[in-house]
Amino acid sequence: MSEKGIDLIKWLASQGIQAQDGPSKGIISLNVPREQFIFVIQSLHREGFDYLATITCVDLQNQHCELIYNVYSFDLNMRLFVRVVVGYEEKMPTVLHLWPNARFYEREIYEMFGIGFTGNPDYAKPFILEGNDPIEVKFPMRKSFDSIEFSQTNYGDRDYGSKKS
Amino acid sequence: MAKKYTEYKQKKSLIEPLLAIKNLFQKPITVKIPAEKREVSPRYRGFHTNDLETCIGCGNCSEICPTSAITMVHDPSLPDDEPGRKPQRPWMDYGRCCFCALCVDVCPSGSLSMTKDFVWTSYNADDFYFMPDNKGIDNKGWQSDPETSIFHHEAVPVDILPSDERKKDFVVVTQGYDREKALAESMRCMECDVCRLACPAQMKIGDYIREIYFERYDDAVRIMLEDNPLSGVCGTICTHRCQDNCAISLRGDSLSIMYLKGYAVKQADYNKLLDELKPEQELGKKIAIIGAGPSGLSCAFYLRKAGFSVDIYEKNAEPGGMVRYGIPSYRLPNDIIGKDVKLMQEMGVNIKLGVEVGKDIEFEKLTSEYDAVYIACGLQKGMKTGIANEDAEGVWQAVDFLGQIRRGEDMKVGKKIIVIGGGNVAMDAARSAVRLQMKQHGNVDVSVICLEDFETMPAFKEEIEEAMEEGVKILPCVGVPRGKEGVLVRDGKVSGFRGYPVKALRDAQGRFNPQFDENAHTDFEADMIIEAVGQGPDFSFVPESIQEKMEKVAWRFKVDENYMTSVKGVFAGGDIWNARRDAISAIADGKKAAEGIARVILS
Amino acid sequence: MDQKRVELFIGPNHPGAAGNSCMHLWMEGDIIKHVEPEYGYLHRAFEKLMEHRNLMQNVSIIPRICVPEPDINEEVYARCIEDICSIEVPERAKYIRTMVLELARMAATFLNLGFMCGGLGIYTVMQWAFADRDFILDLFEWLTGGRVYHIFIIPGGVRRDLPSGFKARVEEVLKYIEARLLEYDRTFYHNSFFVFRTKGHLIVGEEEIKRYCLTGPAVRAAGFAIDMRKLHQYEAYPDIDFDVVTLKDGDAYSRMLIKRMEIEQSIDIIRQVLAKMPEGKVLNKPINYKKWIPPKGESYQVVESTNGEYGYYMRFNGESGNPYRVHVRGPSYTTGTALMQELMKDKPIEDMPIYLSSFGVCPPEIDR
Repeated sequence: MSEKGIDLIKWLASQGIQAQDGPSKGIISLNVPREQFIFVIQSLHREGFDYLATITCVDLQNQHCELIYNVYSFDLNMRLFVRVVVGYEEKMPTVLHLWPNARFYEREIYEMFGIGFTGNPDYAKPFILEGNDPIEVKFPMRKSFDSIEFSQTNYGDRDYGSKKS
Repeated sequence: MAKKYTEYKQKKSLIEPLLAIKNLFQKPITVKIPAEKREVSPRYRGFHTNDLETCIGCGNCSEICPTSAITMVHDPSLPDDEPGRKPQRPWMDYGRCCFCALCVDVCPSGSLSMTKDFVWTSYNADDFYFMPDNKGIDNKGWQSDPETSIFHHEAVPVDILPSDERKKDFVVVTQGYDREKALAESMRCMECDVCRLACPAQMKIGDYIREIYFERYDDAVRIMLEDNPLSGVCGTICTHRCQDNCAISLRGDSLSIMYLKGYAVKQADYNKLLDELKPEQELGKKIAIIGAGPSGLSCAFYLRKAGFSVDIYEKNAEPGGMVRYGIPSYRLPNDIIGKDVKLMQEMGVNIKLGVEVGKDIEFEKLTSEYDAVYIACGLQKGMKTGIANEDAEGVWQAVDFLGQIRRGEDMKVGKKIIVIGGGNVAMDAARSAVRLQMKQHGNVDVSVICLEDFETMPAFKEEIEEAMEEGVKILPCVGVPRGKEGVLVRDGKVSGFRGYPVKALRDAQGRFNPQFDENAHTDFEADMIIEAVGQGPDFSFVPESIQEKMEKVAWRFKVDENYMTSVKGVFAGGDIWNARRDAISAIADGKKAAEGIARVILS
Repeated sequence: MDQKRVELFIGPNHPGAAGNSCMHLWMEGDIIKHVEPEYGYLHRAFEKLMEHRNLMQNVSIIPRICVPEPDINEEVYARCIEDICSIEVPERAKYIRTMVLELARMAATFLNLGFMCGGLGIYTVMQWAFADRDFILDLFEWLTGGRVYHIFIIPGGVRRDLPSGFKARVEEVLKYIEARLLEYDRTFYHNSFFVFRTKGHLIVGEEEIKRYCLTGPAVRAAGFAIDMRKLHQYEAYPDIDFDVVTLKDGDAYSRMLIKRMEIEQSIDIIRQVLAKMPEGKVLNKPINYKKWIPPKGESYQVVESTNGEYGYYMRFNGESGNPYRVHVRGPSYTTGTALMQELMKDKPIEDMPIYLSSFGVCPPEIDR
């Protein structure tokens, strides 16, 4: 890791954000509480982490989801995971003003996981799912959604009774 | 230096595209199928073909299929109880198949392959759910071989003491696996359970190997104890029919199930398991068992677990039967037997050692005092070959020879020893003789003479190899015809052996009928001959009055499905009943007899 | 909304788009005023499917996530697992993987060229591009057994070794493609109609690149030498000598030219790989899939696809053999959504297929 990267980590530590050596080589994870999130992400954007690869959401199964903002800096060749744990009913602040792509990332996260975003006017617009299935598909990527039951109810099974054995 | 492709001369022209018209006069590259043939690559993944003769129905293909396209369907025309095979065959659903060929790569027998066909039309959608068979076997595309398969075809070898060290004394030949090797070997198991049918006790092999892999040894032993209470013994000296029928052994090395079992038993803590094995209630019924061999001990374990009160009468000083007094200590050390027997004694099984039924206590007393008697006395007498001069001094039966060594009594061996027989007992006798010769004379001169040739000798291949490493000479296809002089005697003592070459072992119908070349014979020098051709029973403790009432099949007492003889309350099992006569079959008999006794007594 | 506005659809089936997606256009006359992309026609719920299958079974379904270029999926999936479980890949396997990736790049570029011609109406070159791609698919059939979905790269290496005579075959196809490139130049890349339609249109400059997080040919056409193969040295690329191709203008014409120059770059890389390939094994067999429970951890791995950065995020929770979460990040997620809304404002409708093909918008990556 370069000099500037180490300074950045030290500065973040001084603000109370601890960095952990994360997955894969070259990736550092920052666990950020929801209240400090906008401050951290804007500071990172200023310091050169202006490339948002994607926003990943992971269902932690205890009424909370973890959002991972995958930011990268071309100058330092360093990747950071900014991780925020957010409850099902809580709303996250949007990063639309920093990256216009986030409009669509956040739409998909709401549709699949049910996390709302304040500041993004279209977050609740349906994006990928059709919305006209016989049983309602609500937040399908959560672990509590049973995809086998969905498939049996909507499409049924094909019976090969006449041809077996 | 920058590469050539980094520069591009940009141009714009209206005329140049018209030069494409020259393609009008060139041969088109289209292949007019089906009028012209297109060569399909030798690795193409088309429709499936299954060689039904080699398919074993293990179900590995249906386990790995990512789209659940393969179902194993029971085929009633196949036999139900063939070891190493299951009576089911795969059926493919091409509506789901994604042609990834993972099923081909995981197939242990290599019967499943993919062909180069990819065209199939039909008006009926049900036609695409079918069983692949031998059609298309000449048109194979993607095939598998063990190097590129998904299963691991090479076994983890076990460390064996070199022959110079081990023949000096009765030291244990192999310690089995250690932690790393056990993890690497148990990882290989495909959990297809094809081996389970082959085990006489039907142990849940795939399940306990999975527990061994995740280092949950107590759970592994708990699963083993459901079918086999002498798992430590079987983990060291079993005839391992499961390994012979392992699916991976068809094109690779079979899984070393026996060593894994032995390792798990060594690591498990039997004290933790004891609480679950103590009976929940006492039924108040008493059962007597004659013989503390594998069959008797196994029957005692299951009866005690059910709540019966069990007494075992054993004539020797230690429990274990043939496993303790027939198998040499360099193969099975005493502490392994002790660990298994201690568990039973702590459950409450009462083993009366040194009490011989027929001498110290009468058989009628047992039948009158106990609710049931289970005869598990085993085959204590060696079988005679029938050749002349068998009773001369210096001719031993292997059972007696090995038993005396195991009892710790003195045994003086000759300088030149001949062992007659080709089975495991002959190897045991020969190798014990080697060790005694090294201790008493300092050099080895043991020969094993048997009727069979190397391919058909019934002993384990490992035993034959290790015996030859230790200096035993094996002379196959030698025997003595009936009536000819076999054992040569001088001054009343054994001086040699005359052997005749075997021309054929079995007759046209496959029956045992050895034919000899009676004109050529070889004389071997020997001052000790050990006969290891078989064992027979000693029923002298059962009084004549009761023996007359018992129905017999040849010399065996006939038993029904509850293992009860024709005399009420008298049960029998183990070596004296079953045809295979190894430890695991005796243990399986013990368990089934315990269930039979429980059914009869409690009804 | 103005009374003069008309709503039109482009899609879901269009010869200019690589998949199925519907673009809703609000137009005044000829000029697009607002674009609303509608995706979801190819949603197959891969991320949820992968959570219910173990590691070996997943290998068969992941190529179907990106239809034009399936090998990048297998590659990144295998690299993620090798990173978490610390599996070593043999050297020969790395070279074979590099060759497969470069061949897939060439095939995908031809496909993209075909779609561009379909959108422009130059149907001759469209048939040529699909036909020449067929030769590369024949090579894949010889090597892997399948033409489009290869299922060849698994965690631990590759499934089979090169068949005998394969190197000679590859050299034949490469020579043929080099000869054909001359024809493509004359008929398509120097074609006045093509130049007229694309030169100076849909310019993407440094500001858009930074705001919309673009990668791939769009960035290289604007003059920045950013290539994931140089930034994250993976597979055999550290040993290969190649230069990143850049141009200066940043318009649609430059993007198409970059892709054409990269065909020659791929040919050069494949020749180097075949010359330097070491001997040895091609697969370190992974743990038996029935007993494989990877340790708890996560990984994010990246590969350079024809359109930009393609990444997989994988996470295991240490208790089950199935992945806990897999997230696929395709480059079309940036170019097919927000950038389109920004760039296509006040543009004539004829620029729409140019946009879709020059940026390589691939709807299967967005829907998964």
